Amino acid sequence: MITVAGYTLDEGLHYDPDNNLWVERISADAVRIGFDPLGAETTGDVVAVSFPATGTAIEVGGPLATIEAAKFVGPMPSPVSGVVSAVNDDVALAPGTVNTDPLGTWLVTLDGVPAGDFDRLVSGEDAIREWFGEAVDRFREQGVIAE
Amino acid sequence: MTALRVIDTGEVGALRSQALWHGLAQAMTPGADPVLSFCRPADPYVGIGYHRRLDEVDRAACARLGLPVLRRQIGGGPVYLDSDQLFFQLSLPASSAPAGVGRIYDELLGPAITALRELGVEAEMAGANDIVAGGRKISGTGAGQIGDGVVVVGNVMFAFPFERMAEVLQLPDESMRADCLDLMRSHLGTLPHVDESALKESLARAYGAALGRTVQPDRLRPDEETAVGRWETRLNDPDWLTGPTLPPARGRQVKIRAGTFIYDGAAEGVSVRVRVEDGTIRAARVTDPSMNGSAQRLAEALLGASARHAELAERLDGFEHDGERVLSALTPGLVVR
Repeated sequence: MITVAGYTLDEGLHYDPDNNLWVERISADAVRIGFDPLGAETTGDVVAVSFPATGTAIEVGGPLATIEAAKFVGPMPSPVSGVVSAVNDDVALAPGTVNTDPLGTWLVTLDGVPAGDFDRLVSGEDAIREWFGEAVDRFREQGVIAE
Repeated sequence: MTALRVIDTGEVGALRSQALWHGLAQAMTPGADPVLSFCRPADPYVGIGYHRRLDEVDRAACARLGLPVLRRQIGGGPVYLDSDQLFFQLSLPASSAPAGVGRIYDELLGPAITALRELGVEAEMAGANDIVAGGRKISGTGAGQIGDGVVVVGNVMFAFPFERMAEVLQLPDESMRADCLDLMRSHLGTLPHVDESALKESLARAYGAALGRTVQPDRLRPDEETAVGRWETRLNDPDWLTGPTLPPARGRQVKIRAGTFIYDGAAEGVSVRVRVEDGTIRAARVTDPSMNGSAQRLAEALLGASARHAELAERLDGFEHDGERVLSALTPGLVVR
């Protein structure tokens, strides 16, 4: 684990720089996906999560889940393409775990992820530190998160 | 692009009053002008949020009263809607929406407060997204991302039939309905003296100023009409009304406004009902035939407590296993939706 700008991250994960999601490669073409700590914070206190059916094909940017926080309902955009192989029903029962334990809370697993989809993700400690530090600075400048 | 398009559809049917803003958000593209839209439902109906169970609504009562039920793609519980309410919505491209849910509400409901204040209503924000005046909620709001658009919606109630609202809720018993009605009367407010035309003009001015854009009255474009039509079809679809797959219900909560709600739950044979106002438990009832008198003491221990897990755990600590059971029954209700 590493700490960047006060947030704990797992340097062994890949990260979606646009949507603050983590992506864990669990086999050559399968991944598990959740919110990174900044994504969880900016999403707000999550009160409901719903999922597509297993077997659903998802494109990059397509909805992996539908998230509700403070009466805002929006999609969790997929960082990679693939087919939904499992959803975390425990999160549907206790959505607040997205906020309290973002790195420990996976939402969806996808199979059949093309290798090329990982190219746009951030990985490796140095790259994660640089990207995440800039993301935190940007959100703080915008007043989205506390100093 | 420097315009704020203002589209006022006037009085429309129930379906269109919801499909309008779903379609406007859906039709948004990066760089498009934001749209402030207004409508007023000609006929009463019941709306329900995306992640809420249909069984929170008394469908038999709705059928008896001739009220359609429509599910929206934003959050919030069941709500009675009718022609005594003005709906306003701001739709803008997701790419130009403020980052973070908190900022979305701060920046996109702020102009609504400015507009109300211009008309002499001492409006202010409460919680994440309630607009209150004189301690009463005067506007229900919600938001969502639909396609490439973000939409923030609100209503202003010129009058509100509290009894009808209570009537369409599916509740465990009539005493909870009476409590809901009482809380609504105490915590919701209407603006009977606000002129609708003046309010719309004020809202358009405030949103135009906040977004740095020139107000431009407009009509739906053909692509927007198409998107609205598609949403009318979707909102009318029984599968859509059924809603997404949700986990089993754990208790019944009715939120009246930020920090004010009623919760009825049960666990391990104990039933608990609390009435929470401004974050504090003002009434509590604990029911369990096996408790032999301690139920009343448990209920009294809850009174005056903040509706937060840590404080409730402390208050119930001395009751050992009975306290744990009460806490277990209460816990799902502490997430206020």
